[in-house]
Parts: sequence; structure tokens; C-alpha cells
Amino acid sequence: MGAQPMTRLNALVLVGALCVLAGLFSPWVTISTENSLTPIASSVGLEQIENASWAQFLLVAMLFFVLSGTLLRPLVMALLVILLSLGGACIALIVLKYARAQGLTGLAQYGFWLVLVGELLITMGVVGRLATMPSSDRVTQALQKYIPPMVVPPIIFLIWESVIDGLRVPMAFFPSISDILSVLLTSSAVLWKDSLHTFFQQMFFGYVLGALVGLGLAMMIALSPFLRRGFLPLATAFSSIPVVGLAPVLGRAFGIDWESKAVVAAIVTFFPIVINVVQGLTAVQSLQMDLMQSYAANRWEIFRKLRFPHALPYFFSALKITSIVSLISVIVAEFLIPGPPQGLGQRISLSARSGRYDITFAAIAFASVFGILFYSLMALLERVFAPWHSSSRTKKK
Amino acid sequence: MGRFKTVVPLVVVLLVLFLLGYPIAFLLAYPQAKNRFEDPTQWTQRTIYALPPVMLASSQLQFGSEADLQNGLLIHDDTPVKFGYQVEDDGIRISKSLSIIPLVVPTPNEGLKDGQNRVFHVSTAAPNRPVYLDGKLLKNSYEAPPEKPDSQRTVFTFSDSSGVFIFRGEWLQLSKDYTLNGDSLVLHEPPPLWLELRSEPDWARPLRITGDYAWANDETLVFREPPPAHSELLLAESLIFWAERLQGSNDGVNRLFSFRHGKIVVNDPLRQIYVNDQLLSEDAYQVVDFARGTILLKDAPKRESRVWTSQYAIYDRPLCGATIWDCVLSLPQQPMPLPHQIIERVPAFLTRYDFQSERNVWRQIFYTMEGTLVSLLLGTFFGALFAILFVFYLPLERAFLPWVIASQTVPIIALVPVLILVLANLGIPIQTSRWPTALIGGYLSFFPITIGLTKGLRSVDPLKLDLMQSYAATRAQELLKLRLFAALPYLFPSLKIGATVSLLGALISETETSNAKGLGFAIIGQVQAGNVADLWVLFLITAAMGIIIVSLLGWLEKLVAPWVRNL
Amino acid sequence: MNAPIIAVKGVHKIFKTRGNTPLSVLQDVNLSIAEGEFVTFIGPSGCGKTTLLRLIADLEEITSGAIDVKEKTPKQARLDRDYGYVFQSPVLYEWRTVEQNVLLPLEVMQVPKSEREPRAQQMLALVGLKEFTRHYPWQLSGGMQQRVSIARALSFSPSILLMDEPFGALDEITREQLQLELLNIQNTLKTSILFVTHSIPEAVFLSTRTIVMSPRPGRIQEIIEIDLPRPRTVETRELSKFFELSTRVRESLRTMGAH
Repeated sequence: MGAQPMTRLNALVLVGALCVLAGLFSPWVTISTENSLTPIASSVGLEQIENASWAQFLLVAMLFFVLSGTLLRPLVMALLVILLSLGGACIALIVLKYARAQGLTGLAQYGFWLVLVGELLITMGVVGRLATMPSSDRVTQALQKYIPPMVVPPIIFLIWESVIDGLRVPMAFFPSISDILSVLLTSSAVLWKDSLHTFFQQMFFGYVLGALVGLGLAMMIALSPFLRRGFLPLATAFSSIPVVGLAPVLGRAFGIDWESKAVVAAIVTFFPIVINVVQGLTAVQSLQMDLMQSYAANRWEIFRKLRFPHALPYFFSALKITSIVSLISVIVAEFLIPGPPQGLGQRISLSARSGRYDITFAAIAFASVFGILFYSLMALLERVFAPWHSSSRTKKK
Repeated sequence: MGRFKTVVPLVVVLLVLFLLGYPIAFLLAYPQAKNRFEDPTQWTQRTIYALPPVMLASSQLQFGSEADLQNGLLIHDDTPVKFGYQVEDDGIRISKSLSIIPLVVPTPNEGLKDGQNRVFHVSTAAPNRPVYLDGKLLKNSYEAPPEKPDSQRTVFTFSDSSGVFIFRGEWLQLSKDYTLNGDSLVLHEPPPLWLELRSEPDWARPLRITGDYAWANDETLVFREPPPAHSELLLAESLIFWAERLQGSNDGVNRLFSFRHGKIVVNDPLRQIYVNDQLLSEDAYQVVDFARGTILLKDAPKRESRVWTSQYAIYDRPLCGATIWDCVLSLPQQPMPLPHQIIERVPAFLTRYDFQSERNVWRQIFYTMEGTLVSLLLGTFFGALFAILFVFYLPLERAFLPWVIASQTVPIIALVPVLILVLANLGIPIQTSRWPTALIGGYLSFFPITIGLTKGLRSVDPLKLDLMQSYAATRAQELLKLRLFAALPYLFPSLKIGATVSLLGALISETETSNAKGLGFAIIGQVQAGNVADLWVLFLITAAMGIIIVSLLGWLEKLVAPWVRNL
Repeated sequence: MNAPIIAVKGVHKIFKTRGNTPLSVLQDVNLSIAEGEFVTFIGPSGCGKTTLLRLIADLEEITSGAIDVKEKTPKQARLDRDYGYVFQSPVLYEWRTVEQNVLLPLEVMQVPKSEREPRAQQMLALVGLKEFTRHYPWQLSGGMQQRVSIARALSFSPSILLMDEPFGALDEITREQLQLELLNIQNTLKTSILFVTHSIPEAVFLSTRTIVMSPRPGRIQEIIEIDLPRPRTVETRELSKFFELSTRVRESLRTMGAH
């Protein structure tokens, strides 16, 4: 394996390290936002923040480590550096929170930003190096695949929280991660109830209904060429229609309670299921059909042994897609059908209107989690019932 | 012939779907119609009155077919008559010994009965008393014109100008008192201003007699046809009528009585219940079962008392129709309009507002279409930018692409309200600016386009790449001459998805801003105002827009990438 | 004696596979090719002939050993555009017309614009496709597509042509036609050609030397001089010498297992 040290100073890492050094000895926080006329004069450096001198030591020590770098195997080095630099950025944020607690409520100064940005640059530089270095063994290749995406959320959260806190952005303008987390901790019971209403009562019901009806209709269409010619152009046309536009109409027809939103979910599920299952039932290779016919199988046997199993992967693929789409449709339908204030969509809409964006984001987080869980459930069912479905592999070139 | 084969099934299916609208509409309307049909509070009301006799013979009174002779009481001046009459098949026979039934008394006097005179005066005012001609009850009704006198007006319209008119206690005579103009009466002199405080407002204007007679004032009777000579005209001086007797035992203990006709109107201020000759006040009884017409008296009437009613109102029959199907058809487009009703609405809808107005449908369509296309362009631009960056620098792709894919599960569209408000807070004038829609739609379409284009830029036939490498081409040349072209078949499906999502984003953002423009705004407006057929028309318009945009993209694909020959 | 245009010296190529033992595809290959030669490589699957070609073309990396192409490294030769490569399938770009496909390397190599079209026309005339310049690839037959790919490979006048079973997917009749055309082209342009094939008659008909390779690991088994008279014609196939040489090649292939 090549003996190149991982932390050979590529430009990003160098610049990042310089930034951190500079930031450690620069002003960090202004005392309060009222003194906006002379911000620099009334700002405070790292040494002056109580209990924060340990941070200075730590950060300098980490820098040393980063810059030395020939002692360990390059791969381990890379991982360590990533952890340390992310940690350094966290430390900067923690110090800022310390400062806030001590009454330094002004804007964050360039000292803080330099350290934050510097650490993040180091992270990005090392990750970039890691991802592009020639790899030969499985461990390295796996790390190359998984480390870059895993680094992204911490970076985003660090930047988000720093910007909101450092620039003193009010919660009414945009919530910070800590705001959202606090909502999640305190109001999760309410959000859970909303989720049950949206998810289980409205979405799930409609989803199952749409899938079953779609499955039945698809079988009928597949058996009749006439119906196929009539339906398929319609079905592809329907996929370009914003079905949620029907929501107000359905709200009138079925009442403003959960039924109308369930119908929206059913309709949104119905079309992709029909299209995919019809395709699955009919796109059987002619050779496979010839084989069946050489066994003198009748139509029912052909259906049972060839068409139906062939269609299962298509069915599950459609189920996966529509699981997400129907959840989103139900939420949007809740926007459009003014009903009782229950459900995630209503929660999002109401909280956004009253400026409680932290609740909005928390609700969206709930919705995403449910969406992912549901999608995974469908993927699991696919693996159980249609494990032979081959996914395409693209070569990375 | 091939064309025919593809068009016919499509038309048939569309027709079937259209026709399906009818049973669905019926099915949805059925519960509401059933409710209207069965709920008595939504029925017409009918008042059951005590009946005056329709025929007077010397010793017999006939009350007409509506009277229930078996279950009623003869009432004279609000008191039940106890003895002296017999119920027969066709009437009541009064015995001569019943002296308290003078029943009828002298005729309208001061009038000649010569077969020509139609105006009669009575000595005592009696405008509610029945009038009998040769023993037969006559009908008292008139028609009043819609116009009110204002001391200037002389023209009054009626439904028929050939008739007998009365005014101010007199019979109006043609050309002496008035002339005719079509169906209108033209008086020679305008009547004075009508003051609403007068107790008999109708007498302030000319009236046309529609029944057998009408009262011109308290003391003057005008007949439509002069009564024949030597006919017997009787005016009942005292009130006699046949009233319904409430059922229930009158043993001095029982307090429960019931009306013959059930389904009593719940709130009927004119209901009158008597015990013997006493009118019960409202708190002297209580209705315990409106459906069956059962009441509970506060005090049990003494033995042998008669409990009767002179007037009560019942729910007669459903307002909406004679059968449930009539009721279904009578529902005004709720909850779902019949398909042809939707089609009928289309021309009116399209031309409703002037082109200048913001609410004109075409302007709204253009506005939304504009928003969609702008946001699609924005999303494509950034999507392409990111996809190219990903191809050039693999770590970026490794880091970010999984998140872009995963974010498809997040209901990003739920952020629309937040984004709008944040933009507003940033000071962007939402009312006039296109930015909210563009940014939101661009943000939404960015994701599928990035994913599709990245996949396309990478999915190049390896041999083609080897070819480029054998020419020692630079990465930029490789991108421009090979990857971009190879990516087109992956780009267009993603563009179609992006277009659909942009349209949806544009609609939703229009519903949330207070911009008052665009189809999203129209939809919200209709939701609140409420013509359901119009909502359907709006939906069909947005559906058509979606289909058109996607088809346009399909044609664009054929134009730009004619070599793609799959699917 | 001129320096060989291609010199392969002690070349090994080892492919690393996931988890399993590495695969040795070429082992100690030594070869010298003079200018103007027509060299064919023949051997069963897995003998590394395609890999050798790709190593010369700098489309794969040498594990150990060296290759000199015109006394330069393969990478430098590639950057200098010294060779043209013809793949098994035509690898035409569907979105370009025939002419535009032939223009592709000229565009990439930034040949002056005034020269591009004349060269493309010339090459297309050489392969007999002058009337089809505006057609799209899918409108041509397999043989015609392959001819376009040859025209494209020659358009920038490389001194070396590397061909990997170019006629493998074609029928016998077309193949024989194209073989003659290829020889004519070589006669005209004096290109050195390295040609990989599965077909014994093709190898014998076309080449001045046939290199028989054996698999697992890939190495040169035998080099057979083909001294049939040049220029080759249709009649060449009927010579008894032809039959003899074909038999020699066949024997060599057959005795592979014993070694």
C-alpha cells in the first residue's frame, strides 16, 4: 500500500488549519447586540470567556496532531482527523453557548467563525482525500462509500446551529436545531397523535384501498387488450396530473374529516399501481410465453405461474414509490381541506402561520421518519415476497 | 385502421369513466337525500284547521271530505256542543231542539239580490266569517299587486287584467275608475302613500278578486259574479266548526292525549288546544312525542271533559320530492355534481371574468404556467450544475447524492408555508414577486432532476469512454461530447417528474400567499365560495396543464434527442 | 535495422479481484513488432489478447514490465495520438451522423477546422461509405457501422491501428469483404496493424505474423510467420500454403493443454 501520509497537506487542510489558528486568538463574541455601533471594541476573545481556556488548549493540541501526521497508518489517521475536526467545530459551538450563558449575547465575531470554518475545511479536505485515494481492500472501499455521506449531516447541523445562534436569528424567523429538538422532546405526544391520525387513519387506509383496487383493475386490464389500449395512455396522462388538486372537491364530496384525505391517498396510490402491475403482467418475454405454451398450459395456469410472479417485483416497486407519494399527498391534502386541527399537515400549516417554525420542522421530522419507516417496510415485504428482483448496477466511472 | 384501433378503446374508456360519475354522484348523494327525505324537520308543513261547514241545509251541516266525523267535535263559539246532534255518514244532523245553534243569521243587508248587483254591505264587521250561497260555502280570496302605493304611482300589475277589482271599499269600474294597459291597471288617481302601520295593508292598494268574493273593507263584500236573483245568501254570525278531538281517556286522571295526525311541528306558536272552552296556555301542556303527536297536560282534565284543537301544524311531506330519488336529484350539486353539470359549467366559467381582471381564468392559467416553467428552469439549472459537479468530483457525489435521494422521502412540499413566510420576513414582496413560486418550485424539482441527470451522466457505455480516452480527451471534452448526450434519455423522464412537481409547488404556493393570482388562488376561492362544479372545472384545467406540459417535454425530447428509440 | 514500432518487454498483468486471489492475466510477455507489419493475435478465451491490446493502448495499467510504443510509454503514445482503436462493437455515438462520428476524434484532437471535413470525407470514401455521410448509425447495417468505426479510427492518420475482433459480429460474407478492404487500406496508408481474432482463416489471411497465445496465465505460445504472397487476394485462400499455415495454427491451438 502506498506510503503517502493521509494528511499530506492539501490546500484545504492547510487553509483550514490557518483559519483555526487565527481564530483562536481573535475576538469571539460581542457583549450584546445593542452595541452595534462599535462591535469590535466591545467584543470578547476566547481567553476572556470563563472556563473556556481549556478549549484553547484542546484546539491547539488537535491542530498539532493534524499537522504532524506520519505516525499512524494513513487510513486511521484520516478517520481520527475527521473526528477531531468535527469535534473541534463542536467545541467552538459549545464555547459559544457558554458565552451566551454568561451574558454575552451579542453577535458572534470572526474569531468564532474562523475556528468553525477552519475545522470544517479540514474535515472536508480530509474526506475528499479519503474518497479519492486508490483503494484495494474492502474496508477502505466501504469507508470510502459511507464516510462522506455520514459527514454531511453533522456539518449541516453545525453550520445551521452556528448561523442561527451566532447571528442571533430570532426563532420567529428560522428555528435552530436546539429549538427543534426541544419541541421534539416536549411535544412529541401531540405530534405522535397527529401522526397516528394522518398516517394510520388517513394515509394507510387510502393506500391499502388504492392498492387493492388498483391490483384488481390491473388484472382485468392485463387480460383484455382492448382495455389495455384504452387505459394505458390515460394512466400515463394521469401521472402528470397534480391529483392533490382534487382535494378540495373531495373535501366537498366526502366531508372535511378524514375520509376525503383517505380518498386522496387512494387515488394517488391507484394509478402507479395500475401502470406498474399491468406492465408486470404483460411485459413477459415472448420466449417465456413460448415455453408455457409448449407445455400446453391454459390461461389460468399461465397467469398463476408466469404472469403473476413476474408482476410481483413491479407491484412492490410501485408500492414503494406510492408509499412516499401518498404520505406527501395526504399532508398536502390537509393543507387544502380546511378540517379539524388534527394531523401533521394541519399542524405544519397552523404552526407555520403562527410563526412557530420549530413545531413545523419537528412535524416534518416526524413525517419523514414515518415515511422512511413505511418505505422500509415495503422494501422488506419486497425482499420477502419477490427476492429475485434484480436491481441495476451502474459502474462508477 | 391502426389509428382507429388505438382511438376507439380510449374513447370507450373515457366514456365509461364519464358515465361512472353518475352512479358515484348518486351514491354519495344518497345518504344526504335519505336524511332529507326522512327527517321531518325538513318537510313541508301543513296546518290542520277546524273546519267550517261547507253546506248548510235546514237541519244538516256538511263539513266536506276532510272532516273526520267520527273523531271530532262540533264547536260553537269556542265551546264544544255537548248534545243535540247526530253524526251521520255525510254530515251532522242537528236536532231542532238545539237552540244554541242559531248557526246562521241574516244576510248581508243593504244590497239588492237581483242577479246583477255584486256589492253587499253588512251591518256588523265580520271579515272572517264564512259566507254561504244557497247553503254552500264560498271562497274568499284575492290577488294583490306587487307594487306599493306611494301617492304617485297609478300603475299596478296583475296576472290577469280581466277581472273584478276592488279598492277602498268599492268595486272599481272600468274607464270610470281605471283603464287597462296590458295586464296592468291604470288608476285615474294615484292612491296615497301606503304606511306600513296600517293593520290591513292589502286594502291600501287595488285588489283583484280570485275566489268567489272578497271583502273590500270591514263592511263591504264584493262578489266576483253577482249572486243569482232569489238565491239565499247567509253570513255566519257565530263561528261554528268541526274540530278534531284529541284522543285519550277522559277519566279525570289521564293526562296523555294525542293528535290524530302525528309529526307535529316542533315550534308552532299558533297551536291551539282547548279543554272544553278553555284555551290552554303554552305552559299548561308539554309535547312528549312530536313524531306521534302525544301531549301531556299539566293538570288532568275533569271527567267527561272534551280536549280538542282548533289549529295545529304538522310536517306534511318531504320538501325535496315524493321519493328518495326525487330528493337525490334535487340536491344542488352536493356532494358531487353530475358529470353533465360539470360540462355545463365550463363555458360560463371560462368567460366569467373580464380579461382585464385578475380573476379571469386565462390570466390565472398563464400565471401558474409561467410560475411552473420558471421554477422548472431554475430547478434544471441547479440540478445540472450539481450533477456536473458530482461527475467531476466524486467525493461530492459520494457525500451528497445519498442525501438527495433520501430527501425524496421527506415531504418537502410541507415546507412551502414555511418558505413563503421566511421569504416574507426577508423582505421579499410576496404580493408582486415571482420569487416565492420560482424558488419553491425550483427547490422541489431540483431533487428528481439532480438524481436523474447524475445517473445519466454516469451511465455511459464503458467502451464509449474508452474511445474518448484513446483520443486523450480532456474531462471537459468528455463531458460535452459524450456524457451530456448520453445523459439525455435519463434527463427527460426526470424533467417530466420535475415539471409535475413544479406545477404542484406553484399551485400550493399560490394558495398560501395572499397574492390573489393564479389557479391555486382560484381553487381556494372556490373552496370558500362553493360551486362544486367550478372546483371540478378548475381541477380539470390543472390536470390539462399537467398533461400539456409533460407532452411538450415529450415533443422536446423527440426534437432534441431523436436517437432515443426505446420505451 | 529499424527500431520496432512496438516493443513489449517482460510484461505482467495481474487483476485484483474482491477477496479472492489475484488473477494473473498476462505473464512475461515479450514481443517486438516492426513498422508496417500486420500482426494477429489468436487464442482461446482468457488468454489475455484483448488485455494485451488494451495495455498497449494505455487503457489498462501494466503491473510490471514495460511497453514501448514508438519508443515512448503507452501513455505518452496515447497523448500523442499515435494509434487508433477499433472495438468489437462499432461504438458509434447514436446522436451523431456517420460523418460527425468520423469527425469526433478530429474535434477532440483539435485538428484545424479546415482540415477536418476533407479528412473525414477521404476516410469514408476509403471504406466505401461516401453516400452515407448524413445517415444515422441505426440506419446502417452491422457491417457498415463497423466500417464507419474503421474510418473513424483512421481519420487522424495514426501510424498504428489496434483492432479487437472488429469483424466478430458479422456474417462470413461481409467479413471476407471487409478483410480485403482492410488490406487495401493498409496498403494505401502503410499503417501497422495489431489485430485480435478468434478465427483461424482470418488470422492467416490477414497477417504477416500470427501470435498464438495460451491462457491461465496468458502468454505467448508460438509465433508463426505467414509468408503468403502480398498483396493478398481472393485466390490466396485457395492456395495450399494457406491450408498448411491454417493447419499449423490449429495444431498450435490444439496442443495448448499439454504445456
